[in-house]
Amino acid sequence: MSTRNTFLLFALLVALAIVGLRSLGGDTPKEFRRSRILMDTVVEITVTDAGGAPLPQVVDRAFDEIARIERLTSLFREGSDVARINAQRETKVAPETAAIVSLGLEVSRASGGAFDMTLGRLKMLWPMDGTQKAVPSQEAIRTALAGSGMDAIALRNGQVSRRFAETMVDLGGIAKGYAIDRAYETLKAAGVRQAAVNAGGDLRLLGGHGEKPWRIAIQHPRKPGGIVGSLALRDVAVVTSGDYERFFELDGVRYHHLFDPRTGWPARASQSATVVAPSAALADALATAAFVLGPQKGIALLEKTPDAEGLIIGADGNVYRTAGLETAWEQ
Amino acid sequence: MGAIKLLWRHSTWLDRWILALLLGLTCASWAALAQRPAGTRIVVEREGAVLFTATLHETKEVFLDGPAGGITLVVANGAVRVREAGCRDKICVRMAAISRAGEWIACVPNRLIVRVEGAYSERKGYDLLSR
Repeated sequence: MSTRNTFLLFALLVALAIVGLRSLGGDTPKEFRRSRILMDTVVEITVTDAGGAPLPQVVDRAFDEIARIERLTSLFREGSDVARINAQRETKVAPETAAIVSLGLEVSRASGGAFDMTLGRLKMLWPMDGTQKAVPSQEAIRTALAGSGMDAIALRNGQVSRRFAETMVDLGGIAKGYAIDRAYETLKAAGVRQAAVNAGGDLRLLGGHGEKPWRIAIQHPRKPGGIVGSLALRDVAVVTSGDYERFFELDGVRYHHLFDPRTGWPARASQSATVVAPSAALADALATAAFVLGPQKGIALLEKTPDAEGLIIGADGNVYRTAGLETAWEQ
Repeated sequence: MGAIKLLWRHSTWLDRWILALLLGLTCASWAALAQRPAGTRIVVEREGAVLFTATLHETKEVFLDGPAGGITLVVANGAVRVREAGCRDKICVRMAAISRAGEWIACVPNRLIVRVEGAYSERKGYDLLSR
């Protein structure tokens, strides 16, 4: 055997060994993933192109940012901005809280009150923590709705004021989206080029997934583990609100956590609403509003909101989409 | 055979040691690869620290302690679920078994996250799930 053939044999063996060892090396070597329990859900950050940013430090900073927003917006944490808002008529809040309230008021007005940040008392009335199955009386619901509505709070010069003593602010329908945005900004500012922030299925995408867009599946509202289709997206937020996340069933009726602010009862027009928008905070609030409004009015709201698209699965199980979503939709 | 005899005659002991090492390494890596079950694996974490891992192809039951009484995890039939939980709400017990990469079950009171990990190609056509 010539020296050349000997060299080729060695090279072949080395290559085979490398291929075998690389295949053993784990899932996807370029993917960095970390999870934390924050804002009462699992937050997962996936980085597929760090762009030279130090890992895991930058991801830990993104988690810290979410935790900071949670501390500001928690309904029950003593000293949080929301707790202080609910304890006094006028409250100076952090710029981040003011930004959330400002956007929330915009969506509230645009949706005719379908998105409402003043349902704190109503949400505390309905047992959605899985511990019991009890439907409140109509009288209790009526009482809990007192002091709610899109005009019940105002924001001026970084100060939130409650119009009524009964008003209880709850930013649960928008704060998680805002926290996702802050994590996204932290990653982006550090130089990360491709990543996804996933808080319990609410997503913000940074760049694409390699050369391709991210492929985002939409949960089927009635088939656990099933999907209704997927979207090919990059550099956007995707948030879904559905009646299957937190609910209880009593006498064959499903009672879930997305309430119609007009009645105080779980909204009945939709099974789920998915919104694609430039920010997760906007997508979060719009998804709740679109869910409450139902397919016709909900799609109309999304169509008139700049850069927002979405799909609603109606109570009839049919899928309704905005026109702009057609190209990204794959069933 | 003639070529091998010729190679053996012209090689030094060092050459032979290197060749044997490479052959061994190659066989071992490919044998290990063949042993590894295809598909995904389960990872249980608390605050970023990995507490437990298993492949979905195993059959296993394990208790994981936690601040709210811990959870009992069952891995069987290519899926993982929480059979028992010491916490009050037991939301994790009511969640469906998970089997696809990217899916998770969380027990917030116990600060535990059960995740199915895997390559994107194993996710049946999508990267992330909006729900």
